[in-house]
Amino acid sequence: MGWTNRLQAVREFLYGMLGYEFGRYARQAYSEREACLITLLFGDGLGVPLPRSYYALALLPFIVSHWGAWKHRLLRERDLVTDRHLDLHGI
Amino acid sequence: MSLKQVFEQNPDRRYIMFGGKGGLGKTTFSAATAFWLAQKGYRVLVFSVDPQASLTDIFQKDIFGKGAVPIIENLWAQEIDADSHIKAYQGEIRKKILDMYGFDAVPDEIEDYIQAASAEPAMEESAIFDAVVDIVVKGDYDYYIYDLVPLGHALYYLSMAKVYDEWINKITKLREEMREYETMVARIKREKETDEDKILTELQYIKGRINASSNILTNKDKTAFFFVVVPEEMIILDTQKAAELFAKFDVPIAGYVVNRVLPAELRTQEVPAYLKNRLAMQSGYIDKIKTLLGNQVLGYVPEMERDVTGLAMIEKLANIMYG
Repeated sequence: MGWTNRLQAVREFLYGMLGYEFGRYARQAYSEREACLITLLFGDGLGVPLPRSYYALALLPFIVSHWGAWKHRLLRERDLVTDRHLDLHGI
Repeated sequence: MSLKQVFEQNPDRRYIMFGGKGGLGKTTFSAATAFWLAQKGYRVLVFSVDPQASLTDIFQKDIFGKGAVPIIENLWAQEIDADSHIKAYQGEIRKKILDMYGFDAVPDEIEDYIQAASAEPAMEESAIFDAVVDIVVKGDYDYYIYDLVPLGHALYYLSMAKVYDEWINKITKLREEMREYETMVARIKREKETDEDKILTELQYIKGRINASSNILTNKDKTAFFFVVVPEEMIILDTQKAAELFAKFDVPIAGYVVNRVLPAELRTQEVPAYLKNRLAMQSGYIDKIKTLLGNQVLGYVPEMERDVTGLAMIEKLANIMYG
């Protein structure tokens, strides 16, 4: 095992110990806000009663690739017990 | 001060609006003012934001949805067709999606969403608002004459800029939060910085356009808003209420023009009782207008011998208003 590999291993170990939780929290916070943003913009597409905004349509091209995931996220069945966030989110 | 003096003393005021209740003469005054300015050699666009616009009728030329149509030298008239504006907008969105993703066709669900956009009544108003932003931001003319919609609705348009501004701020804030988390993830994973955010860029572009146009419209140095009134009690009361509301939206009210004043020479003539009563009523209300508005009244325009349609009548009215 060369030095670079060892350094890499240490780096990954440290990431797993410290960074992973932060990263997971940040990714989760990101996708929560993303779902919220798309819902605010295009929620009426799934029946959320929002007034349709003319300028929201200008943002539609940037949302196209997230549309499916967003719809899935918003419409999926939720189990209150398993959905509870029991971890500390790295805080 | 007369209307003419107001124009001559404020040469930087290039955005002119005539507002008032329905049927008082907003379109006729807009047309006459545009005609006068064009004859002075300015490039003038008179345009209507009313879906039931009457510029077509007054100029006796079908201009609806045809863009800026030349009327006489230096004068163009435009009636915004909300439907075709929406169609063009939808087309742009589709094209952008196809270009961005290299699709042959817009995905069904997205297409459904785009199509549903034209069915919404609020979209029509927003489309007109956006078309006006377009016209104003382009800046192709010396003078822009707005043939406005009746009062309540005009306020709605003016308030729309504020509503959109708040909407954009909210979306931008959310997007910026996302951005922070995105950079956080990238930093933890020691990835290179994330690309420029296209959504934020687009939001900034929209915000810039809306602000540019609403800044012009609420700027006292660039814009003049004239109220059209007629000497009748209800009109005077309603106009007063509207003026208070408009002031709240920072609309730069430049003065009032009184329309439909019965010709003074009638007073000295032998006229039937009906007309005599109308004359007495009008002079009462004109006195009231004088006490209420004083030197804010910039002109009294007589009731014409016939309705104002066609260039000959428009010219005649322009001569009365600005002669």
